[in-house]
Amino acid sequence: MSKDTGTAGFLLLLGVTVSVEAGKLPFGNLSTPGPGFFPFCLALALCLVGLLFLLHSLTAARAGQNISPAAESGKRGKAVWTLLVLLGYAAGLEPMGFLAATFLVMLLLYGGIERRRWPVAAGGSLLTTVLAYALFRLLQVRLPEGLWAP
Amino acid sequence: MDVLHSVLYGFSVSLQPANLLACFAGVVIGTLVGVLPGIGSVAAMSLLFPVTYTMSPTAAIILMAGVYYGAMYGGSTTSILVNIPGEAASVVTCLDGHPLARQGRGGAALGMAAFGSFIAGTLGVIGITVLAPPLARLALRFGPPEISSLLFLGFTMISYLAGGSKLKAAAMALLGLLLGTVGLDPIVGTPRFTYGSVTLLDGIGFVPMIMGLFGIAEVLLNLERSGQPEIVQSPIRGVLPTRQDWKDSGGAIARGSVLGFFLGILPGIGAIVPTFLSYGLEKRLSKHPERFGAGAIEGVAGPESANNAAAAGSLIPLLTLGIPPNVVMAVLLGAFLVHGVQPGPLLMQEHPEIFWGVVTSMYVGNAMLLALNLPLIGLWVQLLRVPYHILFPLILLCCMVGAYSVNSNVWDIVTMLLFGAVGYWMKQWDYDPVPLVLAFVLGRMAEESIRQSLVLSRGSLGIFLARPLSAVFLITAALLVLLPWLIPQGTNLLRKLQRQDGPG
Repeated sequence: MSKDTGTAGFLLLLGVTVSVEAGKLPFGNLSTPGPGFFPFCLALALCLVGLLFLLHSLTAARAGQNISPAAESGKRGKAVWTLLVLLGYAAGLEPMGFLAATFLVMLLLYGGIERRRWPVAAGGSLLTTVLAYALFRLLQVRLPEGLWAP
Repeated sequence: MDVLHSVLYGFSVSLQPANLLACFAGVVIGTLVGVLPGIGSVAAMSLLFPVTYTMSPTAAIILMAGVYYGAMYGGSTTSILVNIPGEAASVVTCLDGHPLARQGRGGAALGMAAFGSFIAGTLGVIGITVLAPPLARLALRFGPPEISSLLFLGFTMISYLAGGSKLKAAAMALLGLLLGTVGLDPIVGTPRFTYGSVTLLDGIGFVPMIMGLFGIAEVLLNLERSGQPEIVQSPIRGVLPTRQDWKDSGGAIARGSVLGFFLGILPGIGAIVPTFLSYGLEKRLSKHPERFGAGAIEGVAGPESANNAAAAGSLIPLLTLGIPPNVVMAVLLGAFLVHGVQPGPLLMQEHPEIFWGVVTSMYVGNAMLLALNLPLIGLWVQLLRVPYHILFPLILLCCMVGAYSVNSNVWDIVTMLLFGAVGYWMKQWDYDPVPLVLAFVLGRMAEESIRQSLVLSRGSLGIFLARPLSAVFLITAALLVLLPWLIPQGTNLLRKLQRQDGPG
């Protein structure tokens, strides 16, 4: 199954799901459309586009046209690990506070993802954290204090 | 006289110290963003959202607009020196700009890009001054049916003009519209698709969404590319173009400015399409088209003028109709709304200081950019040498803090990362996020106007065709959809008729 076929199937499934969910909202009628009117119509349109896309991708697949480039798996791993590190930052930001969470995530990005030597990564992370803290304070951006909260 | 009076009033606003500082900060940040890889003007503008909360609406919009057209200037620097476009709108500048740099004429290319951008930006501001007032007066006659049809035309153009598959673009637009329905219904306030979540009652955050789609996704994609770009090593000399350069480029600048300005007004065009069209036009008109691709200075002047003029032109539908024609203007619309200002036909009457202040600040900003870019080229070149492995954690940190500071809510970071993952996969699988974002921003307006139209007509869909302007918009949209089918059919018919007439 090609990526386009998979995506078309996903769009069709999404359209069906949203139309079912939108059906639970008050639909109203044409002269007084309710909250469910617009999302239901959009979901139907999405189903139609999904169906057309599915037919198009199946036709293209038969003609051997669906060749999608893929990133090298090693480098795609970098993107996935980076996302996981950032999710960890989101989870730890409020409990740990900006300073601790930022230092840790910078360390992981410089040392873990970019594979710099750990002392260099630690020094860079500390510098980045301190400078970023000073800059955001100057710009009056509210930052969580976490462990350092009074 | 009235317009002159308004322009002078605008300068009295834009030259106030706070607004002047905002303009300066915007163009510097914009140039920086344009020079540095890995962060575009959209992501940079969304990062600046929290910073603008403490500013006046006028200063905030001036700052954001400055980032946009500043990035156009900065993007040309990397195109010429590194053969990597700093901004998507500077792709075409690589074709002749980099060969010029390799020939030791990088300074002339940079100088012509800066001057062309300045002239086009200035002409664009004059164009706004002339076109915006009558368009705003026309827009006052728009009712819900006209707005619905205009938005439908806009969505159709966005899908039609999207690079790649039209079906994919249409799917993305529909997805954007659906995402826009999450939260409270705009008319009766019923929660939709919130599933008991208090966070989702406010809908999906616009700032986290665009930071994810354009900031995080871009960084993730850049992580896959290895190596540091190769910068032209020869010293940058002679940034002032020669008399021959001006002779070669004068026409290109004029044509690029006009082309870019009028195309920039249209939805879905952005600043990229005008640059390609300008390049193609100059090559077609040139007496020596073989020079293009090998260092023709008009191949730099035309596209750079077109992208700056398009940036100015794209402000017109936003300021006069409240409809952003591209994703950058969508971010600017977000900035207006955050400050409690609704752009549209009444903006000039209700907030003349914002309207004319922003328009005249573009003139001031263009002058600042010309003064900044030429003497500081050496500094921008040094910035290009900063390794990406140092830059990307900083960009990610700015995105994370930017998303968090919108509502001091960690779920905004999660939303951003989710859209970052979505944007990453979209780019991998050749889906354009622009239709999704534009549809998301305009969805609420579209729903309100369609429902209001149906209430007005008591359920009759004929209202959309009964009103002349609305009918014009709908027929244009229908023609656009049918055009890819009509053109070949028409051509085949013509050929058949010609064969029937035949020789003798």
